[in-house]
Amino acid sequence: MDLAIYQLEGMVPSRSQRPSDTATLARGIGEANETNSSIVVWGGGTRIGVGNAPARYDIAIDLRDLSGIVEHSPADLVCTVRGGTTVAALAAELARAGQRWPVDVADPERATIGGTIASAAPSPSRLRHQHVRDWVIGCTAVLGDGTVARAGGRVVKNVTGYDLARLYSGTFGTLAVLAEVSLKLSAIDEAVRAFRVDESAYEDLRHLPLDSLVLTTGHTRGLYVRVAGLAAAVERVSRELARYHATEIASVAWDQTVHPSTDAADLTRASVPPWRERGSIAQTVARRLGHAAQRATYHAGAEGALRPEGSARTGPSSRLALER
Amino acid sequence: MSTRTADRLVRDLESICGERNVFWREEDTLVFEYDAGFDRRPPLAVAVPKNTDEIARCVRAARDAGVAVVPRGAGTGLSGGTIACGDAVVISTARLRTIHEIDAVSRVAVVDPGVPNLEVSAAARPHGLFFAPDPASQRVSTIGGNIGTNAGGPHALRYGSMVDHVLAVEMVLPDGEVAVFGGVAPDLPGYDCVPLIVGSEGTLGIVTKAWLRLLPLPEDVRTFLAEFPDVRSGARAASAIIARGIVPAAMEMLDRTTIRAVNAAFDVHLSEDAGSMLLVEVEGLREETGSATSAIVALCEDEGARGVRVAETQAERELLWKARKLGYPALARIKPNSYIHDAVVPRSKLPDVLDSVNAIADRYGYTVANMFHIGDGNLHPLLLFDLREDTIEGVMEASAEILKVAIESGGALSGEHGIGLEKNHFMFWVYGPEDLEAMQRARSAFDPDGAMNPGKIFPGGDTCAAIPTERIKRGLAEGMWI
Amino acid sequence: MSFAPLTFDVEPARGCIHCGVCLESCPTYLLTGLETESPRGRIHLMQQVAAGRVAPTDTLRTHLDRCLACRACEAVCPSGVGYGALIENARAAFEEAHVVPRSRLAGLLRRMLLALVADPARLEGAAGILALYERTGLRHLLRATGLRSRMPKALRRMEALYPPLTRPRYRAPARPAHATARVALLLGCVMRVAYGDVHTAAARVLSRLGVEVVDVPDQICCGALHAHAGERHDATRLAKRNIEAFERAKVDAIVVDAAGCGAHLKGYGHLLAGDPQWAARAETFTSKVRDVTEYLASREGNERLGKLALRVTYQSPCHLAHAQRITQEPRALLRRVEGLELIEMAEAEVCCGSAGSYNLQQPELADELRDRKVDAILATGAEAVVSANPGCMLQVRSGLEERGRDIPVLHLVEVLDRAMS
Repeated sequence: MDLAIYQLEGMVPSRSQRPSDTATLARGIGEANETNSSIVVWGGGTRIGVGNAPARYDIAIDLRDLSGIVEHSPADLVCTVRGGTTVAALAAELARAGQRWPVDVADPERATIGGTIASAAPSPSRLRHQHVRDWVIGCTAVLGDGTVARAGGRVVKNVTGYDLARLYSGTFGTLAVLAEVSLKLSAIDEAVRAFRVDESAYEDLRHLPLDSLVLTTGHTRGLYVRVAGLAAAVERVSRELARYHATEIASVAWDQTVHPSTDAADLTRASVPPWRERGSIAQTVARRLGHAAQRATYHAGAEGALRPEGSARTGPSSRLALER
Repeated sequence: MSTRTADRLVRDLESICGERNVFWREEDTLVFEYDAGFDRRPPLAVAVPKNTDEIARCVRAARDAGVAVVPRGAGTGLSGGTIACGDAVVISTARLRTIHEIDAVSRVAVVDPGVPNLEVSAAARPHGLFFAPDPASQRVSTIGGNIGTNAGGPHALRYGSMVDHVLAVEMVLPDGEVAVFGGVAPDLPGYDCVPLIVGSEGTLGIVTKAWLRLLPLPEDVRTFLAEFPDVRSGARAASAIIARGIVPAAMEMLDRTTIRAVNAAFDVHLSEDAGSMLLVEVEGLREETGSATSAIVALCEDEGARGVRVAETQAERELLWKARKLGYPALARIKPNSYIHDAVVPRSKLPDVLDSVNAIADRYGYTVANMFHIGDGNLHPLLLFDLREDTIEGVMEASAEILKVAIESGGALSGEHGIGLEKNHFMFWVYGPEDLEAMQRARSAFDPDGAMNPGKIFPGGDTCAAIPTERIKRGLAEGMWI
Repeated sequence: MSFAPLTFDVEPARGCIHCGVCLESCPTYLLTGLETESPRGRIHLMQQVAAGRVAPTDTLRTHLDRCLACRACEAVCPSGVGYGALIENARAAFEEAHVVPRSRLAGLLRRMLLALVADPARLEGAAGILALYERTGLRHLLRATGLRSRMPKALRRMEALYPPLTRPRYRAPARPAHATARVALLLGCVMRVAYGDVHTAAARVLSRLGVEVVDVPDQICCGALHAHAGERHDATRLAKRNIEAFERAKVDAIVVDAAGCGAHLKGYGHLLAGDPQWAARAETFTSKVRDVTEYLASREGNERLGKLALRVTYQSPCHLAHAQRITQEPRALLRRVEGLELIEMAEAEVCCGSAGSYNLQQPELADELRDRKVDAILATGAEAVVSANPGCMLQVRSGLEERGRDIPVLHLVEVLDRAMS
C-alpha cells in the first residue's frame, strides 16, 4: 500500500489501517497501544495539517471506510452516522427528508463528519449556528487503549453524565477516535442568498440577522454575507442589504470565496472575539500578527485563517488566540 | 473524622470567610440539608465566601483537612447535586453576585457564579440583548448552579442549554488552584474543557466566574395556547410539529392537573375542561413568526385542537410564562409532596411514552401532573402524594418504572436537572462500565482524589448510604435491570 | 440532647417544597446571601423545631428574629405557604415558652410600649411630653450643636425614628351633600397622635368623591404590634373591641390609611376563627376592610384626580404589597393626577427596613435596607416620595435626612388631597 498518501510534514508512517467497523478500529488501536505505537487518525485530510506536527508517527488510521448512516429519524430531527462518512454524503441523505446538519465546511466531498467535529472546523455559518459541537448529541468513541466508550445519546437535550461527545470536538484525535456520532438536525432553509457588500458596512451588519459573514483579503478581497431562512424574510433582509451596494453572488462563487484553502500547511489561524474589531478584521488580524497577509479569511464567530506573505511551506499551520 | 479535625477546619474557614459566614451548629447546617428535590442530609459545615480567593482558600482548607467539598448555588436543584453525602463542607457561591461586564459589541456577559439567571437578561436588555437559557427557577437559581446542571428551560428548544451559551469559566480546581477554560474568542488552541465542565455537577471544581453568550432580542415574539381534549392529541400535535421541521422557540405541555394548580395559584384563567394544552412561543423575524404560527396552528387543529388562545399583550405573555415557570411549586396546592422526573425521549415517541407514564401512575394510585418541555422531548411527570398517607417506597418504585420506559424508548435519564444522587444508580441503564469508566478518567484528570462532590453522577460507593432513599433507589436500579 | 420541644401549628407551611422561589424576594437574603436568613431556611427551622428535631436555641431564634415579617415571600410563593401566619405562630410559641431572653429593663419597656399603644388616653399623655421636645426646639438644638451625634447609638436611632408629634390632629370633614357611600376610618394608635393630618387628608379626599366618613368613637389600636410580638391574648382583646365598635357604626366599608393596620384588620377573621362566638362577626368585619387606595381605586369612574405638577416615586409598603397584594391601585391613582409624573424605583417591592420595631431590634440590617432604599429613591431623581404606611414614611424620612436630602415623604392621600384642592 502506498503509505506516502499519509505523509505529514515530511513524516511517513510505517503502517496503515483502514477499518470498516468499530470493533476492528478498536482492535487496531488496542494493539497499537500495546506495542506503544503512535497513531494519526485520518478522515478526508482537509484539516490534517492544523496544529503541531506529531512527535512520532507509526500508524495512519484511515476512517474513510467506517462510513454510512446508521439511523436517520426525520421525525426526531436527529441522525447517527459513522465517523468516516463525508459531509456531502450525509447532506445528500438528509436532503431527501428536507433536513440538514447545519455545518458548512470547505470541500464537503472530502471532509468527513468525524474530522469536522474532531477539528472543530470553522464554518461561515457559525454566526447563526454557533459551534460544530452544538450539533453533536452523542458519540461512540474509541479511547487510546482501544476501549469503546459511548457518551451522550440520541435525544436533543441531555445531562446524563459528562458530555464527552462535545469535549472531543476540537481535540484533533488526541483523546479519542469518533467511530460514530449522533447529530442534531434542522430543516433545509427555504431560501439562501449570498452577497458581496461594501466593506464599510461591517459595523452595521452586526444588527442584521445574517447566516454568515466572511471577510477576505488577497485576490478575493471583500466582505461577503449570506442570508438564509424563510423566503419572505430573506427577501426583506436582502432589500436592507441593498443599502450597502450589495451584489448577489452565486452559491458556487460563495463556496470558492469564503473557505480558506484546504491545503492548510502554510496557513496561520487566529481567533478574535466576535465583532470587536473595527474595519476589516482580516487585515487587523494580519497586522497584529506582525506581517501582512497575502490572503486572509475571517469567519465571524469562528477562527480566521491567514496565509502570511512570503512564507515557505515550513511547517504545519499554527493556531493562536489574539485575545481570550 | 475526629472532632479535632472538624474543629480546626471550622476555625480555618472562619478565619477565611469571617465567623458570620461559616456554619457548623446543628440548627444552622440544617438549612443546607435540602435542595428543591427530595433527599436530605446536613453537611459537616458550610462556608459562604465572598470572592474567588476566599473560595480557593476554603477548598485548600478542606483539602488539608481531608474533607470533601460540595459546591452550592441557591440550592434550587432537583437531583440532590448540592446535598452533602458524607462529612463534607458545603461551599456556597451565593454571595458572589456581581455582573462585571456586559460587552454589547461581542455580545458577552461576564458574571459571578451567584448571579441569579434572570438578572443576566435584565442587565443585557438595555443593550437589545438577552441570555437564552431560562430554567423555570431563573428568578432565584444562579449561573453557577445552571452551569453545574447544564440547565435548560423552555427556550432551550430553539437556543440550546447552558452548554451552548457558556464561552468560558474561571474555576477553582480541587487543589485550590484557579484556572480559566475557554474564552470569548472562538476556537482557541488546546482543549476546550467548557463543555466538560458544564453539566459536571460540581465534580470537577467550583466555577467562580463565567463568560456568557448573549443573543440579540428577537424582532417579533408570538405566544399562544392550543387546547386539546386529551394528553395524547396534544402530544401527537407536538410530534407532528417537530416532524415537519418546525422548531419553535419553546413548546410546553400542561395537562389538566397542572392547569387546575396554576389556575389556583395565578390569575391565568386557563380553561379547566381542556385535557391538555400546548404553550407555544415562536421568535424571529415577523415573516418567520407569522409563517410558523399558522403552520403550528394548522397542525394542532389537524390533531384535534379545540381552540387557540393568543397572548395579545406583553403582560398576558408574561403571565402565561409565570404560570408555566412557577407551575411546579404551584402543584403543591394539590398534594404537599411531589417527585419530579426529567427524562428525555425521542420526540416521535412522545404520545406512547406519555400513555405509559400515566398508566404507571394509575397503577400505583398516584396523581400525575405533566408540565414539561414537550418540544425537545424533555418530560417532567410529577408524582403527587402525601407522605402522611403514602409510602416513599411506592413513589420510588413508580419513578423507577417511569425512567425505565423513557430509557427503553431510546431516551436519557435527565435533560436539565442532572443526575446528582437522585438518579446515579440508574446510570447503568444507559451506560456500560466502559462508558462510565471513560467519564471517570475525565474526572480523574481534574480530581484524582474524588474530593469534589463525591457520590454524585456515578453509581456505586457507600458515601451516600446514610440517605434513606439511596438504598431504595439502589435496590430498584439493580432489580429492574434492563 | 434533651430539651422541651416548642409546640405550635406549622400547618401553614405544609405546601413548602423548598423550591426556593422565595429567596430573591427576601430582604435579608438579598443582603446576606445566606440560607439561614432566608424564608425557606426559616420555614425549615420552624418545622424542625416544632417537630422536636432541634432545640429552640438562641442561634435558631436569632434567624427568626431577623425576619422582617414583610411577607414578600408569601406574595411570591406559588405553593401558597402562609408564611405570615407561620412566623406569628412561632413567635407566640417562643414568647409563651419564655425562651426569649430579655433584660428586665427591655422587658419592662416592651410591655409599657404595648400597653401604651392600646390605651388612647395614655398615648395622648406620652405624645404630649414628646411633642414638647420638638416644640421647644430642643430637638433642633441637639442637632444644631452636634450634641446628638454624641448620644449613644441606640438612643440616637430611637430619636431619629420617633414619630412627628407636632402635626395637626384629625379633623372630620363636613358631610358631603349627596353621599353615595358610608364608610368609617380607622384612626389607630400612633397614627392618631402622629399623623392626624393624614387621616384628615384621607377623609377630605373621600368626602370630595361623595363618600361620607362617619365617626367611630370607641375604636382602638388594631393590635397588630401585639400580634407580631407574640402577645396573642392582647391582640385578641383589641380585635374584639374594634369589631364591636365598628358594628355599631353600620358602614359599607372600613377604610384604613395605614397598610400595617389594614393587613392586620383583614386577618381578624383568621385570628378569631377558632372562637365560635366571634368567628362569624370577625369574618363580616374583615369583609368590609379596605385600604384607602384599594377603596378609592374601586370606586366607579376614571376621572382625573386633580392636578399637581410633581415628579414622585412610589415606595410600596410591604403590608400593602405583600400582605394585602395591593400594588397596582396606588400607582393607578397617582397616574390619575394631572401633571404628576411617577418614576418607578429599583426594588420597589423590597422592604425599607422599618417593619414595626425591627429597626430598633436589628439595627444593622435595618440600616442596610434603609440605605438600599434611599439609594433607589435618589436614583429616580424624584422630588417627593409617596408611601401609604406611616412606618415606612418614618424610615424613609430618617434615611433621607441622614444623607442630608430634603425630599418630602408624603402619604398617597396627602398627594391626592393637595391635587384636588
